[in-house]
Amino acid sequence: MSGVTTERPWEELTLSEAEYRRAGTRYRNRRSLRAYLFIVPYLLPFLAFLVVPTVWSIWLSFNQGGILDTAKYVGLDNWRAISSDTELTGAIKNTALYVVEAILLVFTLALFLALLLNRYRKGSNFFKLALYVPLLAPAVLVGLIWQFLTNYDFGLVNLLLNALGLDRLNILGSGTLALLTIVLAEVWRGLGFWTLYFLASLQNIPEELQDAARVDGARGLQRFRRVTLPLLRPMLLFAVVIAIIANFQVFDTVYVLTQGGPHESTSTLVWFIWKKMFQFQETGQAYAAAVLLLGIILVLTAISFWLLGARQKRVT
Amino acid sequence: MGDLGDRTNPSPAEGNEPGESRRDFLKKAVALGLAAPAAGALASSAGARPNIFVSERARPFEGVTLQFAKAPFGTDEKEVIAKLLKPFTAKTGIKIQHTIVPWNTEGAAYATNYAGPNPFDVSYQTSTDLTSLGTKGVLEVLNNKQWLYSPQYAATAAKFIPNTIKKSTYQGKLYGLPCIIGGTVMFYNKDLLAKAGITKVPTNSTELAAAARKVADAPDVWGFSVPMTDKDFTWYFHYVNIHNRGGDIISKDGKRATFLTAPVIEATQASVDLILKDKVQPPVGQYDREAGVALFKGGRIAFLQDEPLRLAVFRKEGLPFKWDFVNPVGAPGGKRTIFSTTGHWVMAAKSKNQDAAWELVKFLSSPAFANEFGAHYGWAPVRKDVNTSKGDAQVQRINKYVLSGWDGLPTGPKMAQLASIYGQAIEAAATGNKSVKAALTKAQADATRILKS
Repeated sequence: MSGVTTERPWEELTLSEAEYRRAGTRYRNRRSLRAYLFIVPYLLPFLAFLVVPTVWSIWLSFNQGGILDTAKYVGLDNWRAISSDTELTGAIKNTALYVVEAILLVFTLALFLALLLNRYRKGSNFFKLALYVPLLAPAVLVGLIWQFLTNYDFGLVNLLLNALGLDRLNILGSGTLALLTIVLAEVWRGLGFWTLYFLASLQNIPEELQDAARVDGARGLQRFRRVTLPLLRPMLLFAVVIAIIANFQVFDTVYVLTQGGPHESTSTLVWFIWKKMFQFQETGQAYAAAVLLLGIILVLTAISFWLLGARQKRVT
Repeated sequence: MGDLGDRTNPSPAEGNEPGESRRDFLKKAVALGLAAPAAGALASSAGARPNIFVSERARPFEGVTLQFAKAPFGTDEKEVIAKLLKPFTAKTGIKIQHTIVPWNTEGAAYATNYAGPNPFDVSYQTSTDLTSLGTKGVLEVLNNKQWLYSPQYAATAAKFIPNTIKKSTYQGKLYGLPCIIGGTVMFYNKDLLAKAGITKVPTNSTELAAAARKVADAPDVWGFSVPMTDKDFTWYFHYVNIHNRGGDIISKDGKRATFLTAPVIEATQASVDLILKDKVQPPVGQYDREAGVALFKGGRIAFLQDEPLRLAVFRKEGLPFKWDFVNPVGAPGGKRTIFSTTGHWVMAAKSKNQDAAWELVKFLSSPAFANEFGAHYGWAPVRKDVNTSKGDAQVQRINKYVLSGWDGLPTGPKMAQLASIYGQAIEAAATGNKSVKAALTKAQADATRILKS
């Protein structure tokens, strides 16, 4: 070892502070650019089909026309018009009632069926398929099936009531029963999906935890409350958010079964928007109601995150 | 032409004349070959008919395809229209692409279609939606010198029943050429009436309620049926009751809603009483419109108020009982009118083939089309030279009812909404959710808000 160093002195290698900053910025920009390039295939459709239409809808909610004729700025007129529209308040009430009923019912049933399928594996494939089939049926077909089931003269429900010696029911002629029919039709359609979803979630729960609880003397219901449910909570949060978004937009079953009747008792928010937009060409009011729906969904989603997320933190 | 014909068809003897050389024969043949068309052309021009190229000129739109859309009157309508349009296509060269737009989605279908760059060139619109679409500028205005009042069409334009043009015009603009008047009639089951001992067909709503009560005493039989939900366009079938009492849901100047006037209240009460008080009509929602018709066909309804287009169906299917029809009952001591919207052929303002579209509109309005089309579906005509009865006594009766008692819908861009509001008020009161007064008070408030917006 000659002891002669080939390295240059530290000072010569060191850049000035400004040069370091510039180099750092260049490096970060290069990295960012690459990342942006990767997300372009998603970002473009996202902008074109979601961001732009949403912004456009918000803008049109302050205008009259804009689809068939040119948009004319009217300030808050559309918002004032829908806020004094009793059909809209009724539609919000009906939608909220529908969402609560449908989500509670479908989640309870789906979780129960998922627990059964998780426990009894024999023949479970058949039941999974049977539960999933209604989801494949188009909404129109679902509507027609339920129209047939609820028919006054030859519907299955009334035939059963008749056989039991009870009076037949005018199901689609009663506001409460008509809304309940829509809830049941949607529950019937969505049950398979949510059952499989919860089943997949249940199968992710380590069996050791259940065994440990058993060893500690926990019974079935206790194990469900203390082990299964807390571990399902993240999946439940996602499910609640998705279900709120989907159910607040209920339309097709309403369209086929009741068209908002009898006497607006099944009129939902999207049905209201559809009527304003297409039946009466009140585009500004339809957009205002659509923006309102977006706002409601965003708020409810935030509340769901907050409620279930906060509990999740406490649990962990 | 006779001479020429003789010459061009020489007798075999002529061609085989002895002494004529083969060369001479060929010369003659060439000369004849040239002379024949020349003589034909001369003869034709000598005939002095200016339309000598009639076949070419009559197809000035060769290669043009028009987009045509309509909500159907029956499941066979596409075939019926295709058959009736054959001569039109043969004469003009215009091909028609026919789109069926279902009634309950027509609002959405037309709104999205007219928003696009290639809208339906010609479509069918009822007076309910005509003005709403027209005032948005998507329909061509027709009452001008370019179209309806063009010198070539003036004589035909004069044949339209003036009231149909008037009732379709809004603020001086006619957005569609009237083509039919619909209306409703009251079909009745003669056997059920005879069984109940009813000898006189009711003429007003009080008599109807009384007759229906008698019939409804029999098990599984309803006295009366008429659509009762907004889904089935309730307002359309009940509007007649308002007109019979001399009222309307909107003031004559089109500026005020008039739901809380005596004629509207009385008319609505009469509709509601048949269900809630007399109990002669099925409760709201128990049977929809089609189910009501099915019950009538099954002999379970004594009086059915529906459109005349059922006539063809009932006759074709051969109902298992004696039946007939009259115009809907009038108000006690009031008028007995027939309410109907009118159907119109409209042209899209953005159509790229407006001249061809106008040719089609003219043809659709002409007796060549309208006689057969109206007769097939039982609609009354809107032109004096159109006869949709073809000598059929029943259709003649419908036409007589309609043409003598027709009272149409007021025009206005908000009429579809106002009419729907009236339908909802009837539904609310008939379900027992609200009193007639409360339902109409809500309707008045809603309509006032809509008229202001």
